[in-house]
Amino acid sequence: MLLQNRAIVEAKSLGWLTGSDANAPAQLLRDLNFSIAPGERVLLTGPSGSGKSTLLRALAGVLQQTETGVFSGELYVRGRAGLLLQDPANTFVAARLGGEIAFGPENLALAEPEIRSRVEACLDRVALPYGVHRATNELSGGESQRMALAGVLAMNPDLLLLDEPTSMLDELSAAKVLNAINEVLDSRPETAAIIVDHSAEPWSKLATRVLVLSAEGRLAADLPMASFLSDASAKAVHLATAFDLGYRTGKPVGTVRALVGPSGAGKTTELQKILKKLGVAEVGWVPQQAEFTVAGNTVWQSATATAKNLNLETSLASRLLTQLGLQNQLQQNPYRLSGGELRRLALVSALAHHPSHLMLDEPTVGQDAETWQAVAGVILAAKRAGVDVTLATHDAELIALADEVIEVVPAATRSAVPPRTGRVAPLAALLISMGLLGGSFAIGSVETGAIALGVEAALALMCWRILPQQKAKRFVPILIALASIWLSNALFAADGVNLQALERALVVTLRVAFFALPSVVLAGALRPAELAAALVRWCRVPARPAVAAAAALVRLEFIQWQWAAVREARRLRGFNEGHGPVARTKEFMASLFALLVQSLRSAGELAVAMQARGFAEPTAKRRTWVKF
Amino acid sequence: MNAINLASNSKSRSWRVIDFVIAAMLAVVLGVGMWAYDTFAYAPVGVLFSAVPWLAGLQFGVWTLPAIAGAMIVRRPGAALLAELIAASVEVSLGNTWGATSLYSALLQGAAVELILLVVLYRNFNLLVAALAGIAAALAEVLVYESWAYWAGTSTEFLLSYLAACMVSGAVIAGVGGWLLVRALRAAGVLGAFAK
Repeated sequence: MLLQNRAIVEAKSLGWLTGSDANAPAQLLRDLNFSIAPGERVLLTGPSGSGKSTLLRALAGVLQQTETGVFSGELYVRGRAGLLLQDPANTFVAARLGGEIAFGPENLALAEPEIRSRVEACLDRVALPYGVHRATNELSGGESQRMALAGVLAMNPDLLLLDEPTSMLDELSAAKVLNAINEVLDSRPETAAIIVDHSAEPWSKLATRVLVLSAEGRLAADLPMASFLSDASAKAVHLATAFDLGYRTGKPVGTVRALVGPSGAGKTTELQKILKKLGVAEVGWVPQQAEFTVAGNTVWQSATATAKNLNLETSLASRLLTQLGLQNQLQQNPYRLSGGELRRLALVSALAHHPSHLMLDEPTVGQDAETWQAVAGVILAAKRAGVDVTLATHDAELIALADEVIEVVPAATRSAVPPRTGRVAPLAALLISMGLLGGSFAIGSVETGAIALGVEAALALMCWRILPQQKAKRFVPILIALASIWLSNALFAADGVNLQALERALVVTLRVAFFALPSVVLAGALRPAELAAALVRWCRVPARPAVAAAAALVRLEFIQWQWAAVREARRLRGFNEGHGPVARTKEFMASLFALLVQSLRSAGELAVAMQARGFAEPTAKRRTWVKF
Repeated sequence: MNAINLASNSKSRSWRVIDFVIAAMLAVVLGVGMWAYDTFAYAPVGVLFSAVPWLAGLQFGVWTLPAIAGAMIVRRPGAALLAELIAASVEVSLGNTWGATSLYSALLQGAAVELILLVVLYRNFNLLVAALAGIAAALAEVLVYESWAYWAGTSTEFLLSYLAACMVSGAVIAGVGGWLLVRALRAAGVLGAFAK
């Protein structure tokens, strides 16, 4: 046993090497030796790409989930590790708060009363003021992160691994998350914690020890927090880097406007209102999700796409790429850049067609000091070049650069009336429509067909209140299809066009109408996540695929939002100019592909979070299912 | 004290967490794509082919793409079926032409793709296998379901022409298209956890 002094973590010459193909930058850990005692709180820091997250995932035992690589040395972890990831939007699995927190204990196949008591206790611990039935997609970013923390705590971890848990949040929400983490750890003195963060300041009270990784993935320092803080060079210095955009608009100097206000106040909506009024040539747009602006397969193609769409020179792109330190990665695939590099590429992509307006949405959220300096530098350079800059931000240091600060006040929310979903259970809807499909065989003449449809219509009217509401336009495609089925069956009958054939075609069409029209109505009752749950409970469908399906399906709303954001970003890069069906189809497919890439990227994070909560344990195959 | 085993096990036939999640997420997005096709393209294309209605079968592959793309990425028994069923349930819940009955089509098409992969013992995932899987899905959909449900009154010539159109589409749009889609996703660097 390698274990010294009851250490909870022990790494001996730990190494990890990835990137077999030349295209992918190797993510490395080299020759790491350290051990962590129970109850110890450690900050793990280092430059972007130094392998902090990689090490954390190795400790959680989930590294091989999203990466293939070669492992060397030894790594021991005693007890259970719980992993909290950066962006809670990527990691939730359930539609309701209770189900989300219960996910881990369910995978451990604990008894239902035990799970319910853990859920209540963890909700309380992270100070979420909602009941277990609260919809997970109604929570704010900070609340979601506290929900995710509760989900990790429900596993009762001996080692808490936190991967930049506050970097995606505004100051107020971050403070609340920090508070929750502090209280949790105060109440569990034996639980060790490793926190990954760019900045030490928020963790200066909590963590007593700092591990610093070098850019090459080696352990550069292992020292007490006090000595780390007194070392001035370790502190992040927020100073804008000096840039020159290389072009000028007609204006002598631009205006920097900052839209500020609490999360959810509608800052992004305000930005989008301005964007709608501006043409592609006038504006450069950097959304919060910088990856939405990626176009093409290389950094160079992406940087120059807008300029090429507008038939402009690409020399400015080349200059900007050099200034922002991307000149050596021109042939790199943009999706393989680090988060900071991707943000800098998005800045280049937004400016390479020399627009007169630059619009930025939360440009510094989740970014390290180096990228912060690049963002601030570009804002100041844009101002000097006569470019008007509008940015939505929570970042006090960035707001300090603005000439005008505009407070966005949350609009009074009109509560939209949700469409009636009806009270037909998903499985019942499926069975009814299957029954109708089989029953349609009984229709042998126009008379029986007409009677059957009449009975259906009468039943529908009688059950009107429990049926899901469907918009009239939902019936347009099926009516067109029915017409085409009648035509095909009438015109292409075996014995040519005659009266008998017309009648037979009508019978076939009535049959299809008999099972298809109710199926369109009942589709509204097939809420996919509930259907997956019902299939597991009643039809003994294997639990894990159904749970994974449900986790992907709760993202449907988010995916629809992403779809709109991708379309907007591509329009503002000049990709939407085509009008003919061929051009529109091409653009549709390019957008769908971009959306697919985004979703599969976040799927990697989701898989890591699910595995860290016991989804790969042998118990998950006979997991408990608690209804919330 | 547990030693953490970091050795990669992507060659194993059993399902990893990432396999489930990628198959499901791929299917949800492609399901949205299928819904968009039903909503915006299905009617105009139908009108375009109204003189020769069996040509409408050329659209068939659009609805089998999730099964083939899912199988080509995950390469495990059941991936095609899982992806196709999830995609169809998304399509249905957003509102499509056929409502709940689309799930039976999905079941048939997914099972047909699995059958072809079973024949090659889940060892071969090349272009030819993808195209054959698309053709198999067309045969299952038309012969097992549509022939009696939609085309009971038509002549054999019509049905065979329609079947041929579906098979071509299954091979080209779903088979070759699915294979190309997976290749492009690999190039975009989002399939790092999967075999090449």
